Amino acid sequence: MRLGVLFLLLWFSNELWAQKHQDSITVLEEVSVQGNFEKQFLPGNAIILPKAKTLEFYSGDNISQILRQNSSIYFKEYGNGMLTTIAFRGTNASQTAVLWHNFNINSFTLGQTDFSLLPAQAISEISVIPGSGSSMGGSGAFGGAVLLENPLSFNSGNKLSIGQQIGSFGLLNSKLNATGSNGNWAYDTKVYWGKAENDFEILQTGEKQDNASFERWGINQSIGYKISNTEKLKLAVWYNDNFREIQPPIGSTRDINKQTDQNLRTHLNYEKIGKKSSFNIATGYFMDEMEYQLNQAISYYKVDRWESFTDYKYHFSARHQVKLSARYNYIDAKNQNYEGGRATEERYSLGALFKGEIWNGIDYALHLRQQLVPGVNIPISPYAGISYQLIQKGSHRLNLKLNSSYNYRLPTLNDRFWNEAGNPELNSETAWNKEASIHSNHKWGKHEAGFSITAYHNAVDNWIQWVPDQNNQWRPRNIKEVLAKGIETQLDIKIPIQNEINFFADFQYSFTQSTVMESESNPNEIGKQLIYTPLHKANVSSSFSWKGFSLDFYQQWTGKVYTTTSNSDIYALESFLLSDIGLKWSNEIWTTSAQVKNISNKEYQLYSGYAMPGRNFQISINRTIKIN
Amino acid sequence: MIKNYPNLFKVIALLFFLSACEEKEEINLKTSGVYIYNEGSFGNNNATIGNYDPEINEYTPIAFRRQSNMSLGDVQQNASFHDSKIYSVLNGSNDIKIMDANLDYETLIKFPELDKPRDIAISDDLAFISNWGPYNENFALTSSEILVVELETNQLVDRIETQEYPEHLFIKNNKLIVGHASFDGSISELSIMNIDNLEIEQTISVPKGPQEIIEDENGKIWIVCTSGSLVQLNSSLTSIENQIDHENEILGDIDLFEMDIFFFSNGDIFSLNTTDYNVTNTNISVEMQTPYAFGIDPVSGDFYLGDAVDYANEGLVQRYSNDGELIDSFTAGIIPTQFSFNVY
Repeated sequence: MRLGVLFLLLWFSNELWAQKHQDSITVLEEVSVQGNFEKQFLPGNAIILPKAKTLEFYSGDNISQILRQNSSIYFKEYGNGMLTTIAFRGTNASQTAVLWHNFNINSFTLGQTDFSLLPAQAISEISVIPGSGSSMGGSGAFGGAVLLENPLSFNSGNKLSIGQQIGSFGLLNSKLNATGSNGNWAYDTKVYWGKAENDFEILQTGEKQDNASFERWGINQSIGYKISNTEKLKLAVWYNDNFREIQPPIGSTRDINKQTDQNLRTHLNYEKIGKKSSFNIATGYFMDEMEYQLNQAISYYKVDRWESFTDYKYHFSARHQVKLSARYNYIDAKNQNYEGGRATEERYSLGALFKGEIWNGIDYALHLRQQLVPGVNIPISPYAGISYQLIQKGSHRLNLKLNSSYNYRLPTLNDRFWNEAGNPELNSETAWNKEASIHSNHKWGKHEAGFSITAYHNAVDNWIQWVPDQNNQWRPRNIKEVLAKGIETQLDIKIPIQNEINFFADFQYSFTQSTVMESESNPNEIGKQLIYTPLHKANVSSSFSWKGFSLDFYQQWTGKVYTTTSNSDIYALESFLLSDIGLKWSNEIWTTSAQVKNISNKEYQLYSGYAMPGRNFQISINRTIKIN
Repeated sequence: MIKNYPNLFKVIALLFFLSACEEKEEINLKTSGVYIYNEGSFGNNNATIGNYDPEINEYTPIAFRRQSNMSLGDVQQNASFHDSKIYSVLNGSNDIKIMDANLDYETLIKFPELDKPRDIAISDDLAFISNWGPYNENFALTSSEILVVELETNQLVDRIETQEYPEHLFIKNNKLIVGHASFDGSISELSIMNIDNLEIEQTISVPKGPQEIIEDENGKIWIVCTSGSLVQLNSSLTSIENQIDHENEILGDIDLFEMDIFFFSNGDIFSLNTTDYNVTNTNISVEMQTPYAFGIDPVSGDFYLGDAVDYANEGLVQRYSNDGELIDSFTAGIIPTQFSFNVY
């Protein structure tokens, strides 16, 4: 199999060398080394790009704060700054893929991402592909995919930016960003450090939160080299080091309970662009290490991964193109809970993606993907998407998007290899997703408005869950069928009020009904809403800006969340409204801001039993130096 | 299983008083409520105490939370009753909440040494707590203790090193009986500690899985071992006097009604006569997914059985009459673990 992949790569490269003298300017504009080329093959999908203002407002937080404010996503947070897992479109935390530069960075032991290990300061661009378009993300993207990127520009000036934030509960955040280019070189550097005592008042009891401090630092470095006008190299290294005490449930105390995580993510990309084609090959090494300590007891795991992929894209006509892709992943996990303390696995996947324009204003994409893992039954994963521009009159546009796909999620290493409990014969989960959306954009002079509504229907089968067997031994089994369906709406407006005063607002509402249709282990949960999935969620972002000033409001309303599969109201988390406000002033050199988070001092929980802070404050200062 | 007896004692005292006056009056004891102690899911802070009214078959799920306007805590391992007070041992919260018989919160026992408490027993103004203590490198216990607390101040006054995995406690003749039961069965014994000098005088090996300790009507101490035995200690608490080996595993929760000890094994309720030691199948079969709690109403003799189901959702409680009729079946809290009966 490995030989096959190698052959495929060589074949791609030969094809490219044959084209190396061809002019490539038009295609160059379309694809760049780091570009979001995954998105370009998804005409049938609504892609969420968080607003720059939101990214800046929550730049001292984890990216979960940004995603929460900009989408229907709910995050389970086991306390402030603690383990944070995603619940997207009525699916569980393992069913959303998180990709950095097209490499999946979900934990391969648990199958999910702890978003508290993804500080916003480390990332330049975040985008979210809700639903099945994320099948391009490979295994596990039922709810969607979160794409993280640190793009490079070979045409930008050199810029150095230094920032400091201080806040309530001993919060300190420092950052240094440097971006720029010099001849054939381009770079992007992000260095960050932060800590917090996190000893906020528990509003329920009036006591100070104990054992919840955290400290982290990291560097995300990208360097690009332009070999020629058609060839580029990019090296990216992201190291993240996170220490935290484990926040106990409300009223509980812990003696020693802490966790350290280290993540090293590196990759090297080579890209060559021809007139009608482009070739991209990347290889990366990824390391996730975690040490959890309770009293003197230590749980430890380390996962080393070597992953490579290649894509070859070819315009076989003026309107149609194909992309062939291959991916290889070698996983070596050391975990004391695995038989023999270790598990290794090789994963392969092949994909063929077609995209084009059937008629003026009608775009399509067709994908076929097959992953192969020894011992696991994985179906072929097809995707079909279409985008139809119903109206385009002047600055008014109305688009209809449709897509459908059949996706899969591999069992995690824990599911397969956990000592005396894991089941190597587990089937992959499957999901059949259908989705339709309407997007409209309008402009009247300087007034702008956009509206979108999306409806989806996602049937997940072979859902893996750990349940006790006859001997009370917990084991993973393919036992459940879940139907997630919902509606997501979004409206944004931009209105100039007076000269130099602008108003911007963004409203989002989502209805997520995720229902257990079949359950072998617990018939009582049939027909019930999935736990930690709010039926209703709404976000509002608004901002007034005048010259260098900006007054920003962010509000999130999260409906009631059930914490038991029986949907008991007794154990449900109540709905809550959170409001944040900030005032910012900036010029070309300085940016200062003051923020009040949770201004109404609302008591709320994102995971049963764990306190979240009430009203808190942050101030930030940032200096930018332009060189050139 | 524990029983709330203060009112019962008052009534009995009143009966004695009335009989002394030779004005005998018929008083019918009644069970006004059954407290159902629910363990809750670990780390979710959702332990609860509910109240069941056996007259109208109605369950109030979060009686403590409603009465005291606060959450109980994380993982209710055990509850003990003493001097009109309930002591709720919260293994996850690392504290013991004290409330009155009406579930009005009063105070708590909490200090840094309290680490994974399992049970509490009280003698006069002292409380004895079985305390697992910290884990070692391999999540095993190496420094379990009996903690002695002065109830006037709720402060720790003494610590006695003991065998690991101390579980259930019982006080008899100024001696503290401590059961030790590790998960793998490698530790299965009793420690007998003299309360006067706080010295462990005796250790007694028992079959695997010693759990609840009760005293029968003859004043004899019995320990249920989940591997399938009921062990009776001699009066001086120095050795095993009788051991009844059953054909199947036994639920670690047993109860006494009149002269018999009742226990649940392999889907059936059995009785053990404490005089002739005969074991009888009551032929009352109870279907449960995860048998977890067992108790008997001391007045009516009704059986209460708690089913933890999947440990993550509300458990089920079934109530059977003494002659095997299913009286009621209802949803309780998450992992119903213990019953107590308010008798007046």
